[in-house]
Amino acid sequence: MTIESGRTSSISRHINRALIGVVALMLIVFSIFIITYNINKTDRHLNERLNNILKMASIYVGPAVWQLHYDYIHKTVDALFLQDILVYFSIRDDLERELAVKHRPPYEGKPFSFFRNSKKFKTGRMKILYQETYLGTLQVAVSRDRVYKELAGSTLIAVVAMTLIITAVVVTTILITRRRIIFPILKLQESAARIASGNLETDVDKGGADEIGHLAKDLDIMRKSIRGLIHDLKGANLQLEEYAGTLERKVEERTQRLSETLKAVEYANNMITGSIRYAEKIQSSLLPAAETLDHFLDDYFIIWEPSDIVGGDIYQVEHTGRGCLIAVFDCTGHGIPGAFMTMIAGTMFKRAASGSNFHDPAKLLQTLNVGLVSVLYRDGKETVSDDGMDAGLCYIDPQRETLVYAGAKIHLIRIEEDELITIKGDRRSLGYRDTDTGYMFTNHKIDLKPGMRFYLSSDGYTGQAGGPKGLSLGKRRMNEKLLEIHQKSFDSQKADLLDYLNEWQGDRERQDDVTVIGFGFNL
Amino acid sequence: MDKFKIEATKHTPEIVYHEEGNLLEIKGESYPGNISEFYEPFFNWLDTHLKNRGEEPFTVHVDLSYVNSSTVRVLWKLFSRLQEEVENGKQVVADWIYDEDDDDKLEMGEEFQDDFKELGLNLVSK
Repeated sequence: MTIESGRTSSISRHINRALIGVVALMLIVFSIFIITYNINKTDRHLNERLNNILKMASIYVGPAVWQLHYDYIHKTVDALFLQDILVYFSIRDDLERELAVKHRPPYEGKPFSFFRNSKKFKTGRMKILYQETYLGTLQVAVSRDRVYKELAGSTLIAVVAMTLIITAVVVTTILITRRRIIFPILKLQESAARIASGNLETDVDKGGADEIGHLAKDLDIMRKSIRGLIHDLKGANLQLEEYAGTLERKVEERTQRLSETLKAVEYANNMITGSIRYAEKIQSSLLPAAETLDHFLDDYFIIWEPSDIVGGDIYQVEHTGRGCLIAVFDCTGHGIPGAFMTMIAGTMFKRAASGSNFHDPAKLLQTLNVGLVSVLYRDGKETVSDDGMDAGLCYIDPQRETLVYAGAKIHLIRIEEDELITIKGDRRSLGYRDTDTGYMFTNHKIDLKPGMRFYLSSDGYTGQAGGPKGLSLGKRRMNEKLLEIHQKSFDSQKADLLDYLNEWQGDRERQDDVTVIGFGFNL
Repeated sequence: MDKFKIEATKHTPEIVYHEEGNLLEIKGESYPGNISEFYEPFFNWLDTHLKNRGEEPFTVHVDLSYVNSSTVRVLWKLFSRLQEEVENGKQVVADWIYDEDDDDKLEMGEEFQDDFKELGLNLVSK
């Protein structure tokens, strides 16, 4: 067993210091008390003896003075001097003449006043009366010295006795404290230190049945509880490690699978993108070649921007000796489904245009309507799809004198001398399941003049959300823009329109395919 | 009555039915990749709801900031269904809510108003 001396001495030193302090204080107080008490007592005693001496003297000396019996007076004085405390005695007659005086050595020759003025002595005076006649005065001085010596002796004994008793009590207290409190606490402290350092196996010395014993028992219970807890924790930790291991394995497996999936997705994406890129070529092949356009149109621009590589918008230009057809189709959906629809629409349009209705856009629209319904919902079969398209068709005669327009939910915009006129298409789409196949579309005939500008657009441009409030660009804003730029070259108009759209769109995504065709005639 | 709620996404609107006031709200943008798949559950719910409805007026708020052409057809179907209710003597309140700066949405509302005269579509600018 090791005892940390610092702490050990700390507790007992505190107790010892306190005890010693208290004891010293007690001793001082007690001594002062004894001394004061004894001084008082001695003083009283001295007074008594002084008075006795005076009384005795007055009794014995009175008759001798009356008879002036000097020899008797001296004998009486000598007798009184047997009292060892008496140091001075004098008798004076009524005329203040000294009848007798005696000093105890070493105070020979000292007057009464010497004794009266010194604290070492106590003095007294008494009148000598005999038969009620004043004969003179007695003056007596007694020494305090001897009494004080006695006093000092008895006080010393008392103080020593007290000191011995109290010291015995203190030592006993200290010994009991060390044995019953300090040592058991040190043992407890050691046990606690052992527990603190992680040793939970050694029992705590439980000691006696006192409070420290209870504390020791509690500490032992605590040690056992902690041991239990740590055991549980270790178990839990092992389990956690096991879980962590399993989790790690699972994560690895998942990561592995994920990266495989990612590769598969990348592969699929490459395949799909490749397919779409190729589909784009096919869709583009459906669009008229630049030469076809240049051949008939003097000045024009075409904006064709599918929102995903391929789209549901398509434009067509057919130029024959019978004149020219310019068409914009906006099929339901965009992306691949839209592109499929454009293939059907484009093919169907080419076939219809090759017939006798080349110059009649309204008839062509009806033909397309019927054609689409018959192809898409063949034999009235219950198909899930419900698809169709909007269309705008312009026919221009070979002499470029008139333009005939028919639209299915697509309008033609004409600008002439800074005035914008919307030539509205019919509010019917083509090819939907509930379409009325007998519906007759309307032709609008316009006499062409130099400087006229025409614009044909799917709803992608006006529908694009953007601006500060995320609203559609809208027809009004588009029309204002067209009015602002229509006198510029068609190339500049195209650039301006695209800038305007992109600015409106901002950070938002393109929502639909965008197609705008602008053209004019020099005539 | 039957609860219905679809949270809004980038391409699809929020559709939520409030029992209090018998109110249906369609709000946001609508250009779903697969239009019929998105709106099919809604129309199924609507049919059940209209079949089981009481006498309380059914209110519909359509507040769409962007609709593609397929959605226009979906709305056509919705208003047709609501007009049927009116024709059957049931009370329906239909509000077409558009931004005051959005002429195309106003025009679209006017067209629907024209197409569904019996329904009495209200055009409400915000």
